Amino acid sequence: MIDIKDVEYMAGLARLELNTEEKKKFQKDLGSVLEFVEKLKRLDVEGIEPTTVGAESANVMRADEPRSKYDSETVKKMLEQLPDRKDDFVKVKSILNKN
Amino acid sequence: MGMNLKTLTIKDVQDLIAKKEISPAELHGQFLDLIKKQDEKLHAYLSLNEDTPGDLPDGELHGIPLAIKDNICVEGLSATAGSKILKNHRAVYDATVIKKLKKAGAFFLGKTNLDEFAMGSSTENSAFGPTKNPHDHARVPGGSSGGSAAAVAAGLAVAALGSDTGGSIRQPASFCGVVGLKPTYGRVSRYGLIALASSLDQIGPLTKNVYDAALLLNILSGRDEMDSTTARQLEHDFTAHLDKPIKGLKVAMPKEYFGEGLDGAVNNLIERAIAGLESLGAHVDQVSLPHSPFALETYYLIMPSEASANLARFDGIRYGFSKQGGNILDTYLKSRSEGFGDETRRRIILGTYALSAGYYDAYYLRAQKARTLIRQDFEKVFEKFDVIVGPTTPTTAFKIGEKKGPVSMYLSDIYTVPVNLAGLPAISVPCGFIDNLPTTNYQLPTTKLPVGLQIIGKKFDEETILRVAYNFEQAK
Repeated sequence: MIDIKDVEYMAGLARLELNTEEKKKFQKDLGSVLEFVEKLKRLDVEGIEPTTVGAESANVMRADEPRSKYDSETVKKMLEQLPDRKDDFVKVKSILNKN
Repeated sequence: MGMNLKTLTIKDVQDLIAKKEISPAELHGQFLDLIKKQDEKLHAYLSLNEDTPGDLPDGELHGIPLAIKDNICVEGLSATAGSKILKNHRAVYDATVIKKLKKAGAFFLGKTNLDEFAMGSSTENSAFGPTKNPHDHARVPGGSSGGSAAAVAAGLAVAALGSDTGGSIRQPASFCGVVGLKPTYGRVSRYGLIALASSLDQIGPLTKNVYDAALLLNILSGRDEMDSTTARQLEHDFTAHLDKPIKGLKVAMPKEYFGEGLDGAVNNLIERAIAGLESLGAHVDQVSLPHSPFALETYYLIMPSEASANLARFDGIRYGFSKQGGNILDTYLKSRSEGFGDETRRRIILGTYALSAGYYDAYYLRAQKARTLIRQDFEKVFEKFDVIVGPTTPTTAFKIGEKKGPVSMYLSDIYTVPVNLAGLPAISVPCGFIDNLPTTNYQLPTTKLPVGLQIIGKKFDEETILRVAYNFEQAK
């Protein structure tokens, strides 16, 4: 089971807003998934190294040189997809509260 | 011209174009006409590419019409990932796989439907409505690459690309009766694939036969500096040894893949398929993958954890759906809450939970350790065997709306998920049909539902699984 307070807190961390009905539904759904994964607690993982990547890999290095990945045409297309902009800048709501 | 568009394989198209019986532009026109007539009911495509192909490069795939899952970026075409949050998004660059396909001369018919951000096993989670199974419109095509599988099965594309995080190529291939290949993690570049779980995702082909899958893998694979997880690999022709006999090959049958939950009729067909491999000279033995009963649980912690991080970029600020609030936090909350569907939000919250202070060790870290044990099970078996075989899915395609609640849906991926956790290559190849039982007492069974045989290989040994699949397909 997961507490409804936990659902609210996690949703907040994930920048999701849930209404009362959704909170109840998600509490039930997440509870059933957590109950499902509970089985993992029976597994003895003492001394086992975690697998953190999809394949054995080494760090990949390249020279630290400035390079432009996108030409100006592509950049223009990206700017056109901004929900809100002023000239070539992303426009956002104020980040600091004015007091 | 006695050409049937619907049954065309890549090789057929190559022959027709070589003989100048049809041009790529004509093929494009005919396919688009066919799709417009027949896809209204099926809903395999989310958007079509109306641009008639011009001068295509004279490569190995010259003039081949492909369908592309809508989480893979094709410059100028939609890239919705099946989500409202990307409803009006158009890709501004080509994924590496798309660049490679274009260079080889292929062109694209359109973008195919999927579960939102590839989260699902039925395409029912698409924000734009489900795709139907071509064998029975009341049933799902599987997912998340359900649109690609349905398009190929219905003949609305010669072949398609999908992505596979926990079975999303192989499970719909099995449900729709086509070939689906998930390459080894690191074989194919993920650059330009809208990420779900970065340590599990791979792009791969869905095709009408094994040869076409091998041919597409030739083009798709290779080291890419834009994806540092791609492995250094030599150029390789996966079609070259397909017909080499499989006599003496060591085939493992994991007992855990034939237990509770496996449909009896599916089991019969899989056992018959494995007997077929034996009659081709393969040695079959039963083995155990003792930690596979923990694979789904492991997957449903690791995948949502990675997804919760990957999906943080959809914030209503940079691109996609945006709902402005009074301050920036409000904009985030409103854009994400309205833009994401239920399953996506569920997985984001679950992932956030599994990664959060206080729960990290109990959930995420424990799952990563379990992942090691699951991977080691496979490594042990592959010390003595060449391939592992079993069912791709425990049942045939289920009905639209049949699976209630997230966990019952997850069980559909029980045999495919371990392969992603271990980073291995696997293919689903059609191995027969079972009767689609009538839903009313007075109705005769008129349709049959396909079943897929899954063949799992050693890391970077796609050659052997393709060879087994090809030998099996030819012997059928």
